[in-house]
Amino acid sequence: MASDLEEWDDEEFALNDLLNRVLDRGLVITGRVIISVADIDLIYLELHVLVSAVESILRRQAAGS
Amino acid sequence: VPTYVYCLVPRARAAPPAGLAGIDDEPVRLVSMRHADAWASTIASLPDSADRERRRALGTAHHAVVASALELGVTPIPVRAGQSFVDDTDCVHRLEARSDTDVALLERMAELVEMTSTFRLTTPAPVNKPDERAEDGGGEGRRHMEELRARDARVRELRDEALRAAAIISDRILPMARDTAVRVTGASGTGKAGVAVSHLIPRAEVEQYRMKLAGWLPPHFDGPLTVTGPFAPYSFVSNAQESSGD
Repeated sequence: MASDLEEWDDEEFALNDLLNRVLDRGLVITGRVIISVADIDLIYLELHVLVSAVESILRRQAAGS
Repeated sequence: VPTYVYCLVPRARAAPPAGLAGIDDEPVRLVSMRHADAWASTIASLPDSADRERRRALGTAHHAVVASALELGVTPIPVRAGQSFVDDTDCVHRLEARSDTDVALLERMAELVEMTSTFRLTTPAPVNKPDERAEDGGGEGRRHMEELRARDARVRELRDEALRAAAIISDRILPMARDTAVRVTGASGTGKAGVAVSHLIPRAEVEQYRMKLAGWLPPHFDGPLTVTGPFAPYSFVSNAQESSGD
């Protein structure tokens, strides 16, 4: 599947990322989402830990400036 | 008839434009509640999760409706694609049961939009090479474990590199971003990945965001950034949900 990523141009990658967001993110109301599978077969890492890590970095930078 | 919901909008602020069609070309209509409005349509059946083409078509149509709401000047709260309700009554009942959470989200997201910068990343060769002693009698099991360790190390490396890159990008638009989310789509065996960094920013600062980041080539990146948006806050609605229980 690596070849998929290598073959995508930048715009295609951005579109695939958007589609994955639509299918994988947003309010879950019913508790049973039928479509929760990412559209591509690549290893897909949703890095929640990074969100807080990035925010920590930004806070440190903001505090230091 | 099952009701399919695309997004929530502040009460009495934005009605679907006449003629707007959603999934399966069904007309999009307003479902009004005490605390907010939902944009919805009817749906005959949801696609099988294995039906990649139908899933893709559903996601595309779902996003087009959410984008239409965003164009009206409100910030819609996107509902995750693929959820249907027995009917409008069931939909209203379930949404009103969580009205406090959703009102807070609508208020938090008002005037904010999501912008995304994507780029490619390549990490150097794997840090952990398979242990050569395995060739001397470690056997298949040991070799397999070494391969798994090397693969994990590569994934960690990609993740760390993505975080560093995200911090560089976020630093450039520091005063604008209210929140940040990072996604890495990669193939651990190759050390190549696509990285998407989403920022939650004020709607009024979209052009400034583009000017700062579109086409920018940060040092050591594989290529310039591609900037897309504005979008409804897909990445941050989920975060808000998860953190609401903290």
